[in-house]
Amino acid sequence: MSLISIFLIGLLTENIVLTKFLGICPVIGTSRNRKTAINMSLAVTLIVILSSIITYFIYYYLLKPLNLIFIQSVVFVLIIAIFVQILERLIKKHNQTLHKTLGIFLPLITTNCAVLGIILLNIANEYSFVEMLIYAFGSTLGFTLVMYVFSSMRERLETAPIPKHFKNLPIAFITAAIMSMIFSRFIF
Amino acid sequence: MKLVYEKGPYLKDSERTNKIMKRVLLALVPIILFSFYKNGILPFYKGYTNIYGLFQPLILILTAGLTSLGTEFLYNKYLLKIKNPLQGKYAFFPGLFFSLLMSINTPLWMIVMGAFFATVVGKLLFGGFGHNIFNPALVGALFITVSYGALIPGGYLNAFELDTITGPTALATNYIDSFPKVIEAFGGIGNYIFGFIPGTLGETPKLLIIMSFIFLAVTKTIKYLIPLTYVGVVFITTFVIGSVNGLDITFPLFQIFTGGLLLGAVFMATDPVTTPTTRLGQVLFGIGLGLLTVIFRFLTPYPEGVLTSILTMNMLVILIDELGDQSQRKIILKTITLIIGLGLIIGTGFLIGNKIKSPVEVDNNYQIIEKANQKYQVSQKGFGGLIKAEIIFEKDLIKEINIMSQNESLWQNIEKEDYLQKLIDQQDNLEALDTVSGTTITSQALKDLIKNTKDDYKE
Amino acid sequence: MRKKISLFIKQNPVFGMTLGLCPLLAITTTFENSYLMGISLLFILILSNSIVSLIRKWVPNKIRIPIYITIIGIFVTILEYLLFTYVPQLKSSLGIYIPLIIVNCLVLGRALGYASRHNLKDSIKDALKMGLGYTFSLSLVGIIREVLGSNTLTLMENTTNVTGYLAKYQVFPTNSIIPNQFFASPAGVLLIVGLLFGLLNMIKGVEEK
Repeated sequence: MSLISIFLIGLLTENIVLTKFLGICPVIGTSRNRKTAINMSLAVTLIVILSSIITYFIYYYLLKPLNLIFIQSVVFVLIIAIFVQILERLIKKHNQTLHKTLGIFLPLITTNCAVLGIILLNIANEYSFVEMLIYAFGSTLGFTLVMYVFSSMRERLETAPIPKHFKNLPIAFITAAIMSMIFSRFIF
Repeated sequence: MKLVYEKGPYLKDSERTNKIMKRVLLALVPIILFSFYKNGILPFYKGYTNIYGLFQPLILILTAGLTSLGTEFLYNKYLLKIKNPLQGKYAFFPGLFFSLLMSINTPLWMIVMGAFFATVVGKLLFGGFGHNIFNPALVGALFITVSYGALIPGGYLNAFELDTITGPTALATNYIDSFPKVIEAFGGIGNYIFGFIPGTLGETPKLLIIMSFIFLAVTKTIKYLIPLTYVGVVFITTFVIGSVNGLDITFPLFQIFTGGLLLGAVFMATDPVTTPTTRLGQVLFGIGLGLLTVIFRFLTPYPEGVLTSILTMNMLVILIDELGDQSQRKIILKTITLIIGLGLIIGTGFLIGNKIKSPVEVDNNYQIIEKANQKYQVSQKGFGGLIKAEIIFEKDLIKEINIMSQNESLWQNIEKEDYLQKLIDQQDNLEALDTVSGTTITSQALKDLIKNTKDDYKE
Repeated sequence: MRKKISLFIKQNPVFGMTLGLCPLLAITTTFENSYLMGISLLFILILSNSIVSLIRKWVPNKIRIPIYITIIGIFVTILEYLLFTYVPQLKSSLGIYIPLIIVNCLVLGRALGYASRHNLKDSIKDALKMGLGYTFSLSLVGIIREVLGSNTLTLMENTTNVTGYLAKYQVFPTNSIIPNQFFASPAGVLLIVGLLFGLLNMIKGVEEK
């Protein structure tokens, strides 16, 4: 599959939020406010791409040769957790503003199915290093795109006269449903 | 401080809104009447349908409108307990527009379901009129397409067309190579403009739609900037695509007069609630729509791109309007945005144009004269000249080969061996089939004919 | 009566606490997938809550999260191995969502939020309550999606080679309205879940903010 196909699939056709539902929890949780949505997306992008690279090497140079594939999930999660800790401490020390925007989200991302999910998909699809980077980039861009558009809509819906039982969560899901329908037509 | 946006239409005066709705309805009347004529009266008069078929277009449209109206009435009265359930806001519009996007063959229950979905999910749950983000009719149409797409018998052809038209649906492929044939198949470009080609209930009478547009634009009822930009961008982009492939101005004209573009541009993309209010916003909206429609038409397997394009841009209206707002006074921002837009248009045109051009493997001796759904008319260079054949498919396999003309010296050998039947039987394993003795080149030509046609069919 | 139902909804992990949405949306294409996932999660919940509760007095606060994740991870890995070895058909339907249980907010959430602060008996009870409630939610969505989406009800298909039974039924007589593949699609489940949330809000009542 060409690199462009992989990119487009990650971005649009199999959008991780609207099709695979990876990371749907933080999406619903942070999308009421556009600023938090963007910050969360940036944090996710950063962690996913860096973790993808690290886990790629760990898988192909450590786990596979030693026949330890079956513990890949635990190893990955721990790697991500440690890595996020280190990253958070680094950012806190060197860049206060960045810490203010990204910082609080970093620990939450550890237990975010988006990160582990994309890493597992990288392995399951047997991507080469370049393909994996493209896919990670495409899917996180897709995540950010959806977050941005979705949060702008949710901000607008806050002030609409939605029937009180459907305010907040229900209408958010319904909006996401329509978006998902639209995205399902993006087949190239 | 956060700016709180007031949801459009801006002139919330209900008098004004009613006027707009009345004029839009008026503009739809000729289109509805034409649909009644082409899909109901004409087939009935020619004896292809019964009384029900005569009124079927009107029945479908009416059912959809009533479903919308009824749903909103019940919703307002019993769920929200509003005193005046209808408030004269033309509640039937989602259903009405929805039905114009459906084909004449749509079963009645599907119409009801779609109109219901459009009204409830597309409009009411978002807070009713003025608060929905997506165009309700399109939400309903997309729902039906995604759910039941392949189920509608006969596709878009009404009973009369089913019998008389043998050409393919206009947008079935890109038709870079043979689009003049498509035009001829339906009796010339005139039929495209006047509307006597197959299509959904509302999309065919292009000339009437243009006249309605002029009426609505002159009376400032709709945001005319959007259809102008939308159609303009489609024209320019397809012009570039055509030029890259050696086609003249008839290609973009063909693209404009085909499919749901004009109906969508004039009536769906100008919906007062779900479209931008700032002028720059409207232009950007139109540019986005145009680019997306062309991309969808040429690069995706689905034949029509208007529906998805409008819904996609609906999602971005909030962001577009913010951009339009911010650049109200900053001319530089406006100009930069427009230049970027222009660049995107031309760039996309070139990209797509070049992408379509590159064939996989071209056999120069092979040519497709005409291609319909399951029928091919092809020619292959043989020994003494061109072998012209008609090849008919059934369910992905060739079922029949009828030779129309050939100039082969030893054709009787081919017939003696019943080679054509052998070709059909072994169409997936042609390499293993022997050539007929004495007619090596002819046999090979026939084999190539089959292979090239099958390859083309698979695409 | 209504109060009882409201309480039930409020305590439901999905509809009351908005936890564990990931598998709910992704897995529930058939009833069988739903209850299998539910049982898996119940299994993991019980094990993890138990262990976490037992060792809660000896785990230093700072490294709680990595320790709990490791514990959950071990159990999930065992489950993954068992499940995919004996029922390999599940790989295509449940796929990556089994390993993703490790980071499922429900499991980790209950470990951190409850099991680390209560004794063994209460923790197991909590695991049962949460797990069964979750399985209920999954199954509800699963049944709706499968009936509307493919006009079938699958009680046992993928696990047939283990149990020997095959139970897959057509629900309605063949017609054109159902199956409607929208409901089997991702967009469909988002709509169903959204409408369910709304419906349950109507039952349990919503406080105006």
